[in-house]
Amino acid sequence: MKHMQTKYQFLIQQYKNNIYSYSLYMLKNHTDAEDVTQEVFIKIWENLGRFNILAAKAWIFRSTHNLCIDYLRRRNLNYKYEYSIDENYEELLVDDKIESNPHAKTHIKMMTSKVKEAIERLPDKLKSVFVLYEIQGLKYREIGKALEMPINTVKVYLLRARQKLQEELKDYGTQEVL
Amino acid sequence: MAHRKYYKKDELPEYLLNSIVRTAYNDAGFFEKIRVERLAAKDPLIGNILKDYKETARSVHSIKIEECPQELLEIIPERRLNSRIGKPSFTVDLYTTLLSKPVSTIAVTVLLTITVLSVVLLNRYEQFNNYDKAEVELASRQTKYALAIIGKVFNTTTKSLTDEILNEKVSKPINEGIKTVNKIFIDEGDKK
Repeated sequence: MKHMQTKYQFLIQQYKNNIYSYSLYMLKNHTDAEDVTQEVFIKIWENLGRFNILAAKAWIFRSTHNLCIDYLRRRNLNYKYEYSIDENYEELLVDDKIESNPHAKTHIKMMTSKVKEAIERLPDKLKSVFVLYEIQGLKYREIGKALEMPINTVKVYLLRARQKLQEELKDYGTQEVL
Repeated sequence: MAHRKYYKKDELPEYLLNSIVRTAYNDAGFFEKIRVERLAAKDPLIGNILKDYKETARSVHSIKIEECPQELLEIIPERRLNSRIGKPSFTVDLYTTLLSKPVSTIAVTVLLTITVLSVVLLNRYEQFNNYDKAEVELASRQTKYALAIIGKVFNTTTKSLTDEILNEKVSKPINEGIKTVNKIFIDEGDKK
């Protein structure tokens, strides 16, 4: 029992933020993200003996992704109650130089916020690959395992997601210049 | 003066756009990156596209992972977690000892194991091969000498057997016996 708890605690400490963050990007809803995170925690506990620690990362992300897809299907993409990831105030990565410059600080905050919104608007397949690669820091191979797709597909989706994101942000850039 | 070709916005080849995107997101290889940077320095359109993508990439990379609320960890129902109690086993023990630790500890453990195994294996290998060439040659010479002595002994024994023992101890008594028998037969014939 103690061994299982140690393993469980280790995995939760290691991946809790990744699970929650990924769910939040996919579901765009804190409540659902929390539900999915809890369900993943329980799934990890129930399947502790079925995967080894080295394969845990891919397994955990696959489970999280599948649960998010289930939630999206169940909810039938009803955006009525959705709200942005930035609804709750969060600290942004700003250095001292930027801290002393209110304009730059505001610009970065707004830009990051817009980027997050643009990421949220990406199609689910592109979004999942983009978030896993750019934000969660997974490698192509790991994403391929987690989402059960070939590495070349991962690369193509990532490229499309980057281009789509750029298109989404083009209008924001134009508005800001004006 | 050499004519320099500038790309128009709709004429930009797809492969070049892909290279620009990869370069902006720090995903391109070394030479690809240099090629794109050089093109961007020459061509204003490529330069602008690269700049826009780089800005987006910077914003994307500055996004932090959302932190999981602490209360989420506390409200997981204990009953559900306790419903499946695993039995302690050798595998679990091994896992807990080696892998249920930070990555650095795993790395150090693996490194130490490899070092210890290498030292043991190399020492064993050396035990089988710790003779130098001179020693091997000396052993070879001694073996040949020993074999030569044995060969000589065999030759001497054979000579003694054929020349002395067979002639003196076997052939002679047999000849004498046959002579005696012949003599008896001859004497008996003369009497008749």
